[in-house]
This record gives sequence, structure tokens and C-alpha cells, in this order.
Amino acid sequence: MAKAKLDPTEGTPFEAVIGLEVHAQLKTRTKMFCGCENRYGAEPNTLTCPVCLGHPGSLPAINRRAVEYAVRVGLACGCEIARFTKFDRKNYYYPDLPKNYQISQYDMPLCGGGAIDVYVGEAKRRIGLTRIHLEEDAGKNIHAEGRPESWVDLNRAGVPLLEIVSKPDLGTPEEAGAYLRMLRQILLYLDVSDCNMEEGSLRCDVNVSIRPRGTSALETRTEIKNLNSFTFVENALAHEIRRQIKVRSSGGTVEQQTLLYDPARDETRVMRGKEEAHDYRYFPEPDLAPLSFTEEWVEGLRRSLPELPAARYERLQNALGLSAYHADVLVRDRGMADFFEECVALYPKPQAVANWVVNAVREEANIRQVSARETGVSPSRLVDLVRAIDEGKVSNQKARDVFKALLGNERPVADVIRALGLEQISDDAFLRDAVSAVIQEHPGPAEDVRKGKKNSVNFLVGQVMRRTKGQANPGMVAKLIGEVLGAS
Amino acid sequence: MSPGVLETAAAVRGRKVKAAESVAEAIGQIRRVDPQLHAVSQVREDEARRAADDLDRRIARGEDPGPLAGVAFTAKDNICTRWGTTTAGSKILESYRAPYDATVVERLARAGAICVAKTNMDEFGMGSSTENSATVGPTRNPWRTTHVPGGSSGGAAALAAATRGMIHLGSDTGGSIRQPAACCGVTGIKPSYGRVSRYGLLAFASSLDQIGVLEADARECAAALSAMAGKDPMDSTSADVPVPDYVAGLEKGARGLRLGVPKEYFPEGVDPEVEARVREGIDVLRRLGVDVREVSLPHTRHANPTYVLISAAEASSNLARYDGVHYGYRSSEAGSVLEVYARSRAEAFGPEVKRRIMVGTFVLSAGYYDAFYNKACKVRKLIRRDFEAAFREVDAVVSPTSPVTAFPIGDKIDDPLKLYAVDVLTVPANLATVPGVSFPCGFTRAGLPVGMQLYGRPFEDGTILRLAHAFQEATDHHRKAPPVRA
Amino acid sequence: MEVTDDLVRHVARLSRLDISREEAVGLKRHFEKILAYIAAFQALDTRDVDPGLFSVESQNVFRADEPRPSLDRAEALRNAPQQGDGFFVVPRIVGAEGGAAGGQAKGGAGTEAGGHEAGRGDDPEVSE
Repeated sequence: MAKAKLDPTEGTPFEAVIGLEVHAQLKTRTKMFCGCENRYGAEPNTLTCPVCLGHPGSLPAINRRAVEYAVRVGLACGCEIARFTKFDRKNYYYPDLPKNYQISQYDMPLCGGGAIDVYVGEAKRRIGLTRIHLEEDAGKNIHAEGRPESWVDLNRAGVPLLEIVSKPDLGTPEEAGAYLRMLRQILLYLDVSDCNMEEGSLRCDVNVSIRPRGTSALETRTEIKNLNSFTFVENALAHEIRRQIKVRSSGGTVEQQTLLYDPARDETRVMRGKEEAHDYRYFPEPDLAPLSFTEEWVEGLRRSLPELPAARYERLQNALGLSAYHADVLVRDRGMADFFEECVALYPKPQAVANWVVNAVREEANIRQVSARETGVSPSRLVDLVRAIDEGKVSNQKARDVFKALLGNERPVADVIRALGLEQISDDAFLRDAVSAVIQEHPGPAEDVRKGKKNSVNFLVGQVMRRTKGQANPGMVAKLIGEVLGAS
Repeated sequence: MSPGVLETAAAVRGRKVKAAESVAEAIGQIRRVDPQLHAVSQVREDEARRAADDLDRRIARGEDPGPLAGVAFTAKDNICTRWGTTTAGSKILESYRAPYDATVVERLARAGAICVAKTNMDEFGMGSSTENSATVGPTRNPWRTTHVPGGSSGGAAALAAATRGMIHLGSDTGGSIRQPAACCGVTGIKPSYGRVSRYGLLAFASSLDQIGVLEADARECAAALSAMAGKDPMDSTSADVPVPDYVAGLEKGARGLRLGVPKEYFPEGVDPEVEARVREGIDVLRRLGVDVREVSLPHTRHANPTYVLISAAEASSNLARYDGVHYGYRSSEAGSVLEVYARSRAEAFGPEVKRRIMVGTFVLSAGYYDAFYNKACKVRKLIRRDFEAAFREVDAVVSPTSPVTAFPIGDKIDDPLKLYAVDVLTVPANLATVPGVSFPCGFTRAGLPVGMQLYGRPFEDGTILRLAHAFQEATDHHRKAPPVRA
Repeated sequence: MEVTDDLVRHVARLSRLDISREEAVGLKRHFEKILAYIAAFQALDTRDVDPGLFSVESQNVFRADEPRPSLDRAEALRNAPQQGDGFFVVPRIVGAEGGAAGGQAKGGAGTEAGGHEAGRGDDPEVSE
């Protein structure tokens, strides 16, 4: 899993208490409460209508798919799904919030409780969830360059947004990072969010406090906003924990504040203090009917859930015998893991297949920033290659060249091996002739082999390889040399 | 005299009159009376004529032009129309042009009706006199132009009294259709909550607002409601309840229906002349075979305070969007976003709107929510229970629409609570989500109309229209013409 | 309860209404009248009443996830008091100005104003 990082509380009498609030945009076709397309990157203010512009007289209407997606996430995280729930208005003024209230959920979230299992090093930790609720996203404010103005783009206003709030169960920046990665995997497995932090479809705020090791009270915390990558989350937390330790160690007290993280300088800045806390005047959204879910409906959704990353991670190790490393790497990328499993279905040698998927396919996918499938090698062709290696038709070393040659075309593996002249010779009679010839040419080393000198075997194998232009199966050649010289 | 709504539609459908003629006639009527009434904010001339010509061409081609073919209609200025401006009587929306038509406007147009004007109102529907209009100024009562027409749908009510043959869309959050209907001697219905789509109605209090009409009689109300009512996917609170033919339903008559007279609805403060006319009206219904009995709605006296809080709370949130950022008025004095908000709103909202926003913000704010807003919601529930109990015994409930008749302009403007008191008998319908209809049941000695009100079960709007229609078949108060008449 | 000047000012701030000194006096009086007006219902026993906050009987009123045409941009911006380059324009947002770390905005020359995202437990508002 993630490489071990320094725990900023190490060597201090403190421990950190961290909670995460994650916002994930749901990848529905349309917005939460209107029929405008939910799409990133369009020209500003081209995906708007009277509803998401907050025009007078317009009314919201709930996107059914968004509710289903939210419930799927709740089920995947083991939450209790509310049997009765409603939307509320959260009132605050901001130029990117055209109604000056956000339709959100206050005291009856769609999902309550639940937990996410994360793996940190060898340890498995269960991180509790407080709630998951559904709301609408705001638009974007953009600072005009060189002008005393801000610009407002409302394309994003009204995009369905899931808020996932963890309990303060996290103790280190590393755990926070692991939690975020696992949550992202779950959302990707459920296919409900793009989880693209750069585009803002996954966003994270953290709450952090410290307390003397071994105590259990929750102390004054700070909140850090504006964390748009996993690394920033970890770095900002480490930075803030160190800052709090410094404050406490020098006899000071931590103030309740909201901070902004500046990744360029690796520092936080105070956005506002406690006294500026807001009064959102929540009340039930009178423009929407409440929601109620039957047991059957919820169970139907539960049955339709795909296998989730944690379960897959366990299965790849326990049922398929993969190493923890291979299982982890595969599970992290649902497409990669699916590709792997398709391969194994065709050729049930999991570890051999995993080696190829994790190394060759993943490398290619990473370089080109594409999915496993988009690399241009289908599972059946990759399997043909692995089988060719196992059957001695191509050497492991040369197979990498074959793999490269498979990309971007549909030619059968056997043809590619042949065309590259990489076909490995495993023909017994042919190899015996070659071995005899080499022994005659090099009586000295042959004698050494008879006397038991291992190095000389390698020398003779090398000579056979040269004579066969590298196409001889080296394993078989070594075996034959041993046989012929009676020194195996 | 101009023909009524149904007669006009029949004539246009029967090709006896062209839609263009009907529309020209309607606009002519408005032009004749409006200088005295100040009832409209805009008249739609050319576009309305073009729409009428289109309709005439369709009729000529043999297409069905719809049940309300060629009927002119007006929209209260808080109902969105693509044409013209939609201001809700507020300076903050003085030049706002809606990018869409409200669902009711679409539905009436689909039924062949043609929008010809927007009518004046109290700013955002907050008022009972149509004196709080920042765009047009006070509308006058056609029965006496020194008096208010009631409000907030005062423009619609004044036109309904002073003209003939049009549909006048109003909205009713606490009596804003029924009370002006009573003041102007016309028939106005606030349908059941959810009966008519609110999409395109500028929200005042979302859980109370409902669109309805103000007409010459119950039959016209029935015709308009049949075309407007029904589920709208754009309004999640519109009900998926079948829409009957309300006009056909009128013929069932009133005999055998049970009518409750709640003693709480004749409290002190009801003008004795008003009470007398309403009691006479009840006698008329009794003579028509209606089974009249006493009922009790014990929480009535709490209705108005409950209404004041709930409507203000919702309004404070609904009106937050008027902030000078995306549309509407922006203060020229604003140098920061905060100033854009606070100055634009301060400069462009009228005093009554500000009062209600303030009260609403207060009752929702931290520390006060439970004691005020939540408490009000609970009392609202008790009021609803009162009605549920009463409607187990009777089919409708009767009361005066307003404790008083039309009052002189300026009379109550300085005391908001005095004006709120005008709503005491109308707000329960909104709180209980039941339909209410007001219709004239006589006049005071001073010659001002008195309105009587019927409440029905939710989605039994047809029942109260039936009773009102039976009453109007037996009386002629609704046929009396005011001094200002086109 | 007592209506204080501070309360009136606080509520005006929450309401985003600049009020004059005179208006504040009038509003204070109005608050007092309203409180007196609702005093009777305050005394009602509603302990066992569920606020039942909805005017509608229906539940689960959904819309299918199917796109409808958006407005064209000119129409979306038509009513804007100030617009430019396809955006709504407001005076520079001060409360979130520190958000220069928010990443480059796509589709316009400028920097996304960070520090504000919908739905945070504690959103920054435009501060005073």
C-alpha cells in the first residue's frame, strides 16, 4: 500500500484527531434539480436554465438517478438508508449561489452511519462515517485578472453533489490519504462519480485537532479548505498538525479557525475565525415533496451493487493467490482489475497474468494516460502471449518486445512472434544437434561441466544461444547440456 | 355589454367572432377603465393581436382552437410571461424579463386564450390593498375609486369588476385572490394547494402560494380552472389528481350538500353589515336545499399569527435571490459584493417587504427556530386537523371573506398589523391547503360589495364552485355593475 | 423576550438589508408588535404535535435524468445588471480573495476564486 510516511506526532506527547468532509459530484446526465446537462468544461453560462439560474418563479424537481446513486454509495459504505428523508434550504449569500440558498439536507440525511475499511501498511483500519447527504453544487467565481471584478459561471450550479462526512477516526495524514483513496475507489467502482480532483468533481475539507496521547476528549479543531489533491491533503494535515503541536508545546492554545492551504508555499492562512460562524437558517424545502424508500427498493439497489474494492482486494489474494502488492495495484484501478479478471477467465494462471497486467499493461496505460482496454491489447491476445511464454514459444525477455508489437493492431500473437523472428526453439532434436555441435567446438568448458563447474554450463548455453540467434529455449538447452554431459 | 368568458369562447369556436376581435375588444375595455383604476402594469397590444391572428388562421384551417379560444386573459405581475416584464410590483424587478412562460400561462394559451395584460399587485404579494405597488402605485376600486380594491391581486380584481369576458389570473398566499374579489364584488377562487402548477409564479411563501382566478361568476372560474389545473412535472408540489370538468360539475346543484357554519368565523371585529349579508347568504343556500349546521374550528384565532410567521419565514428565503447579481436592480452605490446585496435590496424593496424579510429571517435564525418557526408549523398542523374534523361532518364551510369591506386608500397603510387583520378569515385555507372561493352576497348601505367565502375539502374545488354557482343562479349580486365599467 | 437594537441589526445583516437608523427603530417596534401578536399561540401546548412540514401529501416526486435544452447564453445573461465575456460580473469578491490557489479557471482568463465550495459545513460568505 502507500509507502510509509512520517507521522508528525512521532516523538511528541500528542496524537492527532482527523475528520474528512468529502464532496463528490455525481455523474448523472443532468443536474440535481433541472434538465441542464451535467458536463465539465463547457463555455461559461451555456448550461443554465431558469431553475439553476435561480430565476423568479422557477422550481426544483429531483433527479431520480442522483438519489439512486447516493443510496448506492450509502449501501456500499454500510450506511443506514433513511426510510424517510427530505431536502432543506441552507440560506447564505454568495454570487455563485443564485438563489442565495442551497438545497441540501440538514437533520435527515439520506444515509447515516457506515464505515470504510482502509489499509495502512499492513494494518486494516475501519473509519466510521457520520453521514452522507445529497445537495446541489454552486457555480464558480473567477477573479478577473487585473480588474476589480469577479466573474460568475453557473454551469456547475445545481450539479448533484454528495457530501460524505467521516467520524474523527483518522490519526495520521497517511491514514487520511488512505481513506480518501479508498473512498475514491468505492465511488469509481460504483460508477457514480468521475472523482477527478483537478476538475473539482472530488473535493475535500479536513478537520484536525491534537490531544495528549491516550486521552479521549475532542479538543479545539481547525478546518482546512481548498485541498484539491491527495498529496495536498496529506501535506496540509502534516503541516497543520506540526503547527498545532508547536502552539501547544509552547504553552499556547489552538484557536477554532478555518484555514486555506497554499500548496505552493506549503502553508496555511487563516480564512476566518470562530466569531464569524454563520447562521444558515435551515428549514425544510417547501418546493419539494419528501422522499420515502421501501425496504424492497433499497434491497433491490443493494443487490445491484458491484463487488467493492475491499472485497476484491481480499478475493484476489485469497481465491486467486495474488500477492498483496499485485492485488492492491489491480484493485486501485477498476478497469485494470476488470481487464485482469477477463484474462484469468481465459487463462487461469492468475499470478503469471497479474505480472503482465501490472507491469506491461499498466505501464503502457500510464504512459499514454489511457485505460487498460485502450492500450490496444485485448485480454485474449495478452493471454495468448502469456501462454506462449509458458509453452516455451517465446522467451520471457523477448516477450516484452512481442507485447510492444501487439499494441495498436489486431494481429495474432503467434504471427507477431514469427514476424519478429522471436519464435523460441523448443524442438528437442534440433536443440540436441546444436548442443552436440557446441560441445565439440568447446571441449575445454565441456570437460569443466563434467567436473561439475556450473559457470561453464552458462558459457555453453550462451554459445548455443548464439548459434541459434537467441531463439533456443534457454531452459531446455541447459537441461540438455546437463543430460549430454552427465552432470545435471 | 361584452359577452362573458364562455360566450366569447363559444362565439370564437363557432366562427361568429374572430379571436382578433375578441382580443381588440378586451384591450379596448382595459384602455377605457384603466385611467381611473390603475389596474394594469402593461398591456400587450401587437403581440396579442398577432397571437389572435394566428389562432384565427388555425380556426380557418379547421383546427380545434381549444376550449377557451379567443378569450383574453390577464396575468398578475408575479406570473412569468416571456412577453413584457414580470415585476411582482417591485422596483427590484422593474426591468426583469422572464426567459420563460409560467405553466398556467402556457396552459391557458394551449386552451386558446390570449394574454393581453399584466395586472397590478402589492409588491411580491405582500399586502391586502394593492397600495404597496412600487411600479404602478395604488389600484382603485371600481365601486369607489377613493377606496382600495383589496389585495394583493387588486389589479385583477378591479379589472374583473370593471370589464367582462376575460380570465384574470391571481395568486393567493393568505387571501390575495379572495379578499380583493370580496372588495370588488367578483368571484375568486384559490384552488386546493397543488391543484394548479406554481411553476412561473414568483414565490412569496411556497407552502401557501396558489394560483387562481378572479371572474364575474363561479361558472367562469370553473371554465378557467378546468384549463389550468393538473399535474406539472415542473412543480413537484402539483398534485397528480385527475382534473374534472368543473363547468359540467356545476349542474349537480347544491341540494343535499352539508354546509358548516363555524362560530369562530364570526368573531368580534367583523363589520355587522358584513355579518348580516353573509347570514342572509347562508339563508339563500339553506333555501336551495343545503343542509346548514354549526361546526367548530377551535384553532382559528391562531391562524393569523401562524400565517404571519410561516409566510415571513419562507419569504425571507424566497426573496434572497433578489440581490442585484444575476438579474434585477443593482445599486449604483455598490463597491463590493456585500454592498451589491445590502444596498440593492435596501434601495429596491418596499417597507412592507423589508418588514416581512426581517421577521422571517428572525424566526428562522439560530436560537429562535424552535420557538417560532417550528412552533408555527405545529400550530399549522392543529389548524389542518380542525378542518379534517369539520370535513368529516360537512362538505363545505362558510364564512365572511373579509371582516371588512373595501376601505379608503391610505386608511391602514401606517399600521401593518391592522392590515394583517384583514386576512384573518382567509389565511386558514392556505394553512390547511384547502380550496376557498369568495363571491358577492350583497352590499353595504354605502354601496360596497360584501364577499362570502366557502371552504371545501382538498381537491374538491368542484364542490364549492357548485355551491357558489347555485347561489349565483338564485341571486343577482354578481351581476351588479360598478360605477367604473367598460 | 426583549427586542434589542443588536438583534435588529443582526437580523438586518443576515437579511442583507442596509437599514437606516430610522428604519431600525421602526423595525424594532414592528418586532415587538409581532411578538405580542403571536403571544397567544406561544402558549398553546404543541408538545405532541409533529410539525409535519409539508403541504403536499405526495412523496418521491422525481424527474427522469433526461436533458432538456438550456437557455442560450445571451438569454441567460440578458437580465444581468453587469456581464462580460459570457460571465455575470460582480465587484471583486473579497471574502475569498485568498483563494488564488484554487486552480486555473477553464474557459476564461482568471483564477478560480477558491475558498468557497457549496455544501461545506461552514461556508465562507462574502464577509463584511
